[in-house]
Amino acid sequence: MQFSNLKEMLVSIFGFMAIYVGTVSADNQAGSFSTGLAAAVDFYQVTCFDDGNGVPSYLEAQVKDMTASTSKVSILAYKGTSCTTNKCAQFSVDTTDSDTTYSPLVKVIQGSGVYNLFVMHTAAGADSYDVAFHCKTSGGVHTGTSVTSKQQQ
Amino acid sequence: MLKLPNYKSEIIIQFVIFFMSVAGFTNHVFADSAKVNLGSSMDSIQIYCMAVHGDALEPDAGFTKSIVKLSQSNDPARRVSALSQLAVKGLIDAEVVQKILQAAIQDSDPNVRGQAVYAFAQQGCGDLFVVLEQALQDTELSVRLMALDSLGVDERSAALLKQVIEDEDEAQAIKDLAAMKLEFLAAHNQVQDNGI
Repeated sequence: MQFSNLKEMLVSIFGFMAIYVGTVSADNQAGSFSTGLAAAVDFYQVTCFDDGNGVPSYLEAQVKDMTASTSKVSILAYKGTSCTTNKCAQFSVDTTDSDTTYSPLVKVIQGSGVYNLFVMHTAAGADSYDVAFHCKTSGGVHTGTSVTSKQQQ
Repeated sequence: MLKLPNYKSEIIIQFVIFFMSVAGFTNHVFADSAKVNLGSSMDSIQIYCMAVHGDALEPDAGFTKSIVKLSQSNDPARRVSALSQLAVKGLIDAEVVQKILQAAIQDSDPNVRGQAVYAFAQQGCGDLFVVLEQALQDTELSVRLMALDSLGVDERSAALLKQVIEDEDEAQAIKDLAAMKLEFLAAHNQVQDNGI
């Protein structure tokens, strides 16, 4: 491996660092129910857009309940009102919170735009979670995905 | 082979050393914070976990090693992950579980303490009620929620639940959970009384 100059090498180092940071934070949203209330709902909006990899076809999501307790964490992903051909809303719950696996993967096929993502739990308790979500093209290629938090309870 | 003039090599080496120092310092700070406990009421508790005769599962060395490593992580989320996996009995030697829980119950992070309380109850370690009573005095809501969640179906637990509900200063989430558990207890006792 040879670098022609110092600048080239530093660019490479920063490039590797940027890739590392990007990998860690990609399409995951960690959170917790700070109030502990059973009725707590955390609300996120996920935007699917074409980042050059293709037009989004669907959002897929799943959740990992990261706190073992009686209460279990679930998600509800929702978009649109034309629900005949494709479902507008999908639900997934992590029934086993003493392991490191996620809940079943669900897909909402409603194209590009803003999807609503609600995170809930089944009872009062101290629950933390990690939601994994990806916008994908009809061919299953990962495309533009961004998230904003709207409500934290 | 990388060939650079000496002065350029020095700059790069200094940069790498600086980067590693920053990373190391961050870890050092987190490591220290894990050892300092500010809000816990469980400092003086000594935990006893014993293997129960007839435990069907043999300890798994690989799993034990990974859990021990996770429980010693500088990252509280990873320590919580280790403890949540201890919420299921088996696969790890009781002595190892005891050591992990003893450290975790005094952790500076409330999420770690709370998960330790729940794991303690699920593992069936000794003096559970004493630990739960102490945990209910914790300054952090998440620890008290876990303690409440871990209470059993006996009369002492029921009395404690009623006490929590009547506490005017207690958080609504705690009262909600206590009420839910009391309802469950009442239904459970009804089933017992009816001999179902």
